[in-house]
Amino acid sequence: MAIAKNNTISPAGNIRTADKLLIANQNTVVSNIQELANIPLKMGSGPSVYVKDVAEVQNGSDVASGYALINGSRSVYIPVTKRASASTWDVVKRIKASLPEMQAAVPDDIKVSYEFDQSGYVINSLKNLSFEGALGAVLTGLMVLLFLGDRRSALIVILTIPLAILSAVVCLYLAGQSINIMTLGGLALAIGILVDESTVTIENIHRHQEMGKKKGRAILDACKEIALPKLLILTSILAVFVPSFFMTGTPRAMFLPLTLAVGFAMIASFLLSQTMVPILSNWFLKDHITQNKEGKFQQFRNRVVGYTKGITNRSKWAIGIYLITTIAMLAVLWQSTGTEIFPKVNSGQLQVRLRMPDGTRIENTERKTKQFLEVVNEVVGKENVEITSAFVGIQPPSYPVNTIFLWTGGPHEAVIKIKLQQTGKPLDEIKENIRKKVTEIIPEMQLSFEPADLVDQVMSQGANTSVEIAVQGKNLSESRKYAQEIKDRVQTVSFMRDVQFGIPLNYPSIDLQYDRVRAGQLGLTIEDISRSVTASTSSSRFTQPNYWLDAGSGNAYQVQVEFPQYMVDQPDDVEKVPLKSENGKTVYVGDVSKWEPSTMIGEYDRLNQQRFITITGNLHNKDLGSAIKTLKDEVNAMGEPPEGMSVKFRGLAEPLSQTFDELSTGLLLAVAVIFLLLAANFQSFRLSFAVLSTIPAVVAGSFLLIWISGNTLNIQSFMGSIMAIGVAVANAILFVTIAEHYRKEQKQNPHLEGIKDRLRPILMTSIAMIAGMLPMALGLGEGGEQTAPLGIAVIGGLLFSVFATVFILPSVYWQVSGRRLYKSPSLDPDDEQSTYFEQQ
Amino acid sequence: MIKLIISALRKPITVMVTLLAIVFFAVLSIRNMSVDIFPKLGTPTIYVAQTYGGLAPNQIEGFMTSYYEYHFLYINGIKEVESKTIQGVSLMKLIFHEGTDMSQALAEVVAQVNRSRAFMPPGTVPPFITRFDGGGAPVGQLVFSSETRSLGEIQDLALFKVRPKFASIPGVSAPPLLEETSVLY
Repeated sequence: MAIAKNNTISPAGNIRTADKLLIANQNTVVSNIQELANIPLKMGSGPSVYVKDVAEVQNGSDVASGYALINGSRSVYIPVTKRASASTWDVVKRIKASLPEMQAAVPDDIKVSYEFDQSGYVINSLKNLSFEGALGAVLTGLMVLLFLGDRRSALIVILTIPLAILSAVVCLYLAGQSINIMTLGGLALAIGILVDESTVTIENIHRHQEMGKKKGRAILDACKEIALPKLLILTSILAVFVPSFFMTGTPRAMFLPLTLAVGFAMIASFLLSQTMVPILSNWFLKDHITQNKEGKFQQFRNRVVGYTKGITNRSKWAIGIYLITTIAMLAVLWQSTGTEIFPKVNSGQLQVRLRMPDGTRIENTERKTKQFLEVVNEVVGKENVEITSAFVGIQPPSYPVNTIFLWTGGPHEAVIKIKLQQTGKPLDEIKENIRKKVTEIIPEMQLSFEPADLVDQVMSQGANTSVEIAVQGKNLSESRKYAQEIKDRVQTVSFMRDVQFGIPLNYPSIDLQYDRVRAGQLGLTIEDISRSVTASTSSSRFTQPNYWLDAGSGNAYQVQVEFPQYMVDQPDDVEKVPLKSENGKTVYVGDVSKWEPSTMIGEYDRLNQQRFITITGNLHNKDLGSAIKTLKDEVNAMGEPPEGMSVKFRGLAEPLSQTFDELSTGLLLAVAVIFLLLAANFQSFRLSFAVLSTIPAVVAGSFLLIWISGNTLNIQSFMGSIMAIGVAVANAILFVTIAEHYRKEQKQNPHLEGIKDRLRPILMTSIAMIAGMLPMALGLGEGGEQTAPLGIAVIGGLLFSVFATVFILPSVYWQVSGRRLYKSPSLDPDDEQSTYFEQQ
Repeated sequence: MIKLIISALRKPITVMVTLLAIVFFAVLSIRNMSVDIFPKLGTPTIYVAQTYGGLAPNQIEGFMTSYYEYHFLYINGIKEVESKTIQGVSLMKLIFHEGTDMSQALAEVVAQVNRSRAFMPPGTVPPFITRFDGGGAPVGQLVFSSETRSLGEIQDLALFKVRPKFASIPGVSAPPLLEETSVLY
């Protein structure tokens, strides 16, 4: 009180002299902190007592609530966090650019450095993806060259790749998209399919030239003729992506950029094939083309058509077997393939939260943290640890904002980040080894691994562990009992690791009970007592704000009164805090109170005003989807939760189920859109159905390859499947269009004629696409794991789609419509094709 | 469509010039586009961090958090209010539905915070309110190391000399240091 009264802020004010306006400075706030020592505590006459007689004035830090450790020694660091809308690459680039400036602001013997840099990973994975795309483009180009057998034509087709991609980039920029793995993935995806448009055009030009037309005429006729089928291919590819506009949440955010990339690239390639391709063909192509000798291909084609014929002879059986096997495969694969939101990546980083017994002092926790770091060194080898940073304890109350970036539940917690050299060793294995070692050496320590790298952190959207089971009830102690039962049960599940309560439930405390009657008799109020006790248990800062201005730097600091910590190091010491002194008699806290040790809950978590208790856990060698299913079964097996209590799976479970709902709906919607589109085009629902019959095979193929390669169903693989459907449908359209053409000409076997004609373009499209996706599917280089499932799904889907289109589709076509006579659905009596046609 | 082919064939130079323009603008776009690992994602979120030194978890929960939560549920577009309370600190996470007008939401949060504070213990400092969407993520750490200086000195310099430079970088969320801070007594 005395300090506050003698060190106070008051406005300086002014004095108006004859000709000047002076600022009237007063030393109400001491200029040198040592002056605080001379503040008299006892006023008036008689022996004076000063602050210096009972206290010491020190320039120091607040009561430590946490320590930062870099490589095990105390240090200072600022976590760098980007805003959701900012680009990682830009942020890091700017920080790195201003590092010298920051270094210049501090003395030379302090080194400022930027660690745990995430941008390297970002840029490397994007570079890799671009490289994979470029390699895919080269392979696609080679395939085109192989099929067209003419260098000049191949050159024209290959030229459309960069031009279409560049146009798409301009459109993406205008649409406000950034360069990221989704847009780049979309462009890479588009490369394989966008050559289609120009390849088909060139092929048709060749065909017309072979008819003996002159070059210019052949080009114009060919382009005119093929324009409509090309538009159909374009729309069927675009159609599969339509559902992404109706998605919400994370799936939309991820899917839409990819959709836009593919869409823009496809539209651009369509326009290019209408404009640039005819022009360049005029300029580049030779006047006469030599007839290709296609002996080998002819033989191959005849063999394939032979097989197809054999199958169509037993078409009902073939279709039945086909449908049963593909649908059975789908059902089995759907069940057995793991699911997760996004493919796992190995970025060589770990983040782990250590929990010592509740209420452990930070100094102790710090010591154990160092011990833990030694364990890590031992497990992975000291030379493999690049840098570690740790935060032990809780954030100081002066910086509430820090809790957003790093939340700790008490002084017994520490969060450690570890960056490892890339050793190629799977992180799961390293984690498991660390867990084992820690239970041996520091048995009282609980570990919980958390998402460490940018990808994991963004995808987990704030969830610290894979599994979070929240138990919510009216009464916390009841929920606690039930939560304990669940925890015991979950702990026995073989793949669960780090199962623990996320919050300190038995925080040690002491209860000070003041006797109000006695205090009153001694002339004390509870307020007087608590004011004195606060200075001994925390600091005066919260009951009596007081400031000091450092004139040198212009910064203000807080002045606080507290008991030296070493003087209050056991509960008994609180009893010795003096409250009042009168006539030489002093009243102590112990005179008016008694205390007893107890425990309390150290952290309260609430959701919409309801308290809940969370059980957190991680998975070992298990995918998220099936893990959550198993756990849900476990919890359900416990029977109905007690009255008024509810158990909720939070963390990643929610986004996972949302993602899969959206994606499955998207897949079905895509099929529906295609069905309607085709029906509109062919004027027949039967044909539309025939085309759809290839889809089960495509999806089964995608899932099969994903399963074989050990990947999971996730956003990427789903998108791959959807893309494969688009290509498969485009192929099927090629076949059905020509078969219909022959049916109208009343040929005997329109389906066989059709497949004979279209085998080449179908194979060419698919093989070019597979070649284009191969580099991506192999997922070489850093971050390759993220996009590999996309490529794998496309390749799997296409392999099966070729099979289904060539061998099964003709049978289906034959069954649903090929064997019937063509009858136009037109109702217009003026239309010659219509059955209602009458001569006027 | 057919017209497009014919006009292209008639004016080939126009097409070529257009293509050149596309290449030119594509280069410009690539230079201007922001680069990141993921597209923008994450639900709009506002954090309210309330401290009161020394207050026990059950006290903060009852005297502060519950008042805040009660009032926050009045805000338009709110999806969930989640809170964590330990000794001295309460952190509330306000998750909004997608497409919520976040400027309005923020204004409403501030208004509700003001009202809630009237019910709180004397000496309650206004809370820290900040928007931090789900997609934000740590991208690194700025580390200060010195063989010769004391921790206190490094802290002081880092906080008052470096942080101002660092915080003004666009796109960075600038939290204070991870260390205890200088206070005089």
